[in-house]
Amino acid sequence: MSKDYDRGLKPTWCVGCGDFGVLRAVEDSLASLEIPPHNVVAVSGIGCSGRISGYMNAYTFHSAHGRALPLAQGVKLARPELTVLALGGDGDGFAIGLNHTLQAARRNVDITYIVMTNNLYGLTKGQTSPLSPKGFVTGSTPHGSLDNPFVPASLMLAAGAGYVAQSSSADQEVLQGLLKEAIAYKGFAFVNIFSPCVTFNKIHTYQWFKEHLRPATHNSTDLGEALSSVNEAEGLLTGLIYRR
Amino acid sequence: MHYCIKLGGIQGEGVDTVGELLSAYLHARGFHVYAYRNFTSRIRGGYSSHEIAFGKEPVRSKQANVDLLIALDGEALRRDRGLVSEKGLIITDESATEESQPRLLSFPIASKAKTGPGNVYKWTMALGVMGALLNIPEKEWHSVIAAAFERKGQAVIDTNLAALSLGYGLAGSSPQVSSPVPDLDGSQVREHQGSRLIQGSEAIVESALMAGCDFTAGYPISPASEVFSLLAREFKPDGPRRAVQTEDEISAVFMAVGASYAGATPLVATSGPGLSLMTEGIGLAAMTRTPLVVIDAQRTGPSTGMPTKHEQSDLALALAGGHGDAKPLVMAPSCVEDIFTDLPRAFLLAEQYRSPVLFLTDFALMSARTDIDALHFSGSDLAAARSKRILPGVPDQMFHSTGNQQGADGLPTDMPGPRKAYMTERMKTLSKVPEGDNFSYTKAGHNLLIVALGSTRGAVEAAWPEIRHEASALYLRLLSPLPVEELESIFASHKRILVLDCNASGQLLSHLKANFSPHDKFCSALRFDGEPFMGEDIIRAVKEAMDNE
Repeated sequence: MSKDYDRGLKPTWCVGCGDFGVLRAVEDSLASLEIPPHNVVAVSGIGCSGRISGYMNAYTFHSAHGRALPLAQGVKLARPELTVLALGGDGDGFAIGLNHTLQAARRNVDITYIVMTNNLYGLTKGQTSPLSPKGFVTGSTPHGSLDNPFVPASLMLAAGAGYVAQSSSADQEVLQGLLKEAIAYKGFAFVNIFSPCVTFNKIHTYQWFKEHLRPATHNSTDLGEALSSVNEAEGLLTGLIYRR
Repeated sequence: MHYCIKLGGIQGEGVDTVGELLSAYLHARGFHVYAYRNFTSRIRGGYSSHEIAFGKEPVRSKQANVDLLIALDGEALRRDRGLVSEKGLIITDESATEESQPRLLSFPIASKAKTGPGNVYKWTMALGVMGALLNIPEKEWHSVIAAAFERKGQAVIDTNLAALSLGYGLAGSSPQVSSPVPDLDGSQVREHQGSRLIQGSEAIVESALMAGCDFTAGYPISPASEVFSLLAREFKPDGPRRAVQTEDEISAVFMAVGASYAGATPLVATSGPGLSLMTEGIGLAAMTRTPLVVIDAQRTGPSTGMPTKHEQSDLALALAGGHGDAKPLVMAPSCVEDIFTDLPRAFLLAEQYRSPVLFLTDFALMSARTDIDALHFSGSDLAAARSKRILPGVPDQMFHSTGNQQGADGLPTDMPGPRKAYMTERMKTLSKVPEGDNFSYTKAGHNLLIVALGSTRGAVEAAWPEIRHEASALYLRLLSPLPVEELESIFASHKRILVLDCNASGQLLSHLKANFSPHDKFCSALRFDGEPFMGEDIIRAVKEAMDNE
């Protein structure tokens, strides 16, 4: 069934890219929810992650940098019966499109927003992103990034998102469980996926995430607990963070 | 023969409300009316005026001179008294001046309002003073006031009627003056069943709904906000049609692209600064062949410019549509009536061409209130055109859309062949001139052809009796693709072509010169001070064009 959601194309991503795991998890989750591919609209942004919509067999729209969310909301508002996903990278969602991300959370249109976080810009050959840690060296920050990073889950909680979850792209079981919940959730659902860039990010590797991520243990129905637990862990939590 | 009554005062004190009462009354008496609002970009305070041109003949432009000025404060009096014609009359408040002359009458309006019905009623009192001086029977205002304040309840209606009476009383003891607007004497000028007052923004909403518009996304901006507000009133949150106020114009246009892709009929309305932001989404609609209609209510630019002042300076941006040969279709209705035919046509062309369509209006067209006769609409075949497009939800037809260059399989490519084939096909489609009302042409004199856009038509029509022996007039309603073949013979049959540009750089002139020769046949008149062209400007420009021949 999950092959129904696959266009059968060979992605242009680097061997080992975290986005392969995201693609597989999205396709398998849709299959497991038995949503017919023609009732799915997947809207993506720009960057390596933005290519994901093109590999899916559904109604897919590769939009503009940072603008997947407004376009996806337009689709859903016009056709509420469709299942609408917005997908993009951390540059899409937390730099150029940050305002749309926050506003989508408070607008609470029933869509699922999937972010592939690799803490940098890959397609443009490695520049710092708003999630890169201080001191992070990239092509655009040869002397190290001077800026503090965002913690995406904190932002989304503060903006009023009703469903917030995180997973590593390597952990298919956890990821698919969360994606299925998020897609079924009535309202705006946010899933942040740690999806390593094997080419440009030599720090945030699969191994690094394995060592630094830990499962969330707080009460995920309590917004205050969710916020403090995310902040304490500097965002490095997996599982359901909050569900309203 | 047209008259002008101008009301000037402090913004937020009732200038516009009473201006609208006066327009409604003049219209009810059978006059043609053109009411132009002048306000500043602030909520309260500051100079504001409402000028109402009217007469027995149609009027669609501002008048250079004022016959009757009602100025209730010192600033309004200082600003506008110079406009008052020799036989004109000024009604003012005692607080504004100590002067008193036969043609400048001051009354204790503000002070009596304060001790009587309240300061907010001083403009209704001023209307009463005017009514008395012009010998308009007081009861004539009753139905106008009742209709205007119906929604606010009987108490508001009664207080306004009382304030009106106070005004009549104030003027009662003043000596008789000869009326500066003798045709306005309470008699009926003509019967005009079905005629009504409307401004461009209302016409846009009516015609959009008529065309099947069911979605709007917008960000507040003068002078386009009214379109969103009126649609939002129609589209209730629990219904299938949606109005979304977005975080910015980028979001608005992308929501519209998404809604259109999904099969809705969205409309987005913005003004210059918003159009700058929207070019990103217009480009995506162009590249993905998604129908999209964007209204641009032009105002004074660049940047914030003068947000509440008139200009037609977005043509160059509209023609480009964004970076990289976005090239939307560009339309420009020349009057309120055109909006009713051209906006449904814009939705249809967007669908047929699978392209964004930019619909250029301007400040004057959007916000001036004028009378139109009953219009008869014919339906458009939007549904038939849309049925040729696959919408999400259809089994086995899934496809990929992308703002990247796509190949024949719909997937991104950077190969020269598919790129060239795609753009060649797109440019060919976009260059096909559609059948229909691509311009309005008024044929008269052969010496000069006047070419104008949007509300400038009103100024040309005001000048018409003076210039028609020399000139013909052409109002372009489709600017891209330009109907070159149709225009060529008209251009050839005139000795010179005078292009009217309400901008500093001659954007329409440049567009025409890029498509027609010989260039020395063209001459140009510009206005870019925030005001629209007036009849006098056109008469002068025609004279200059003929003198320089």
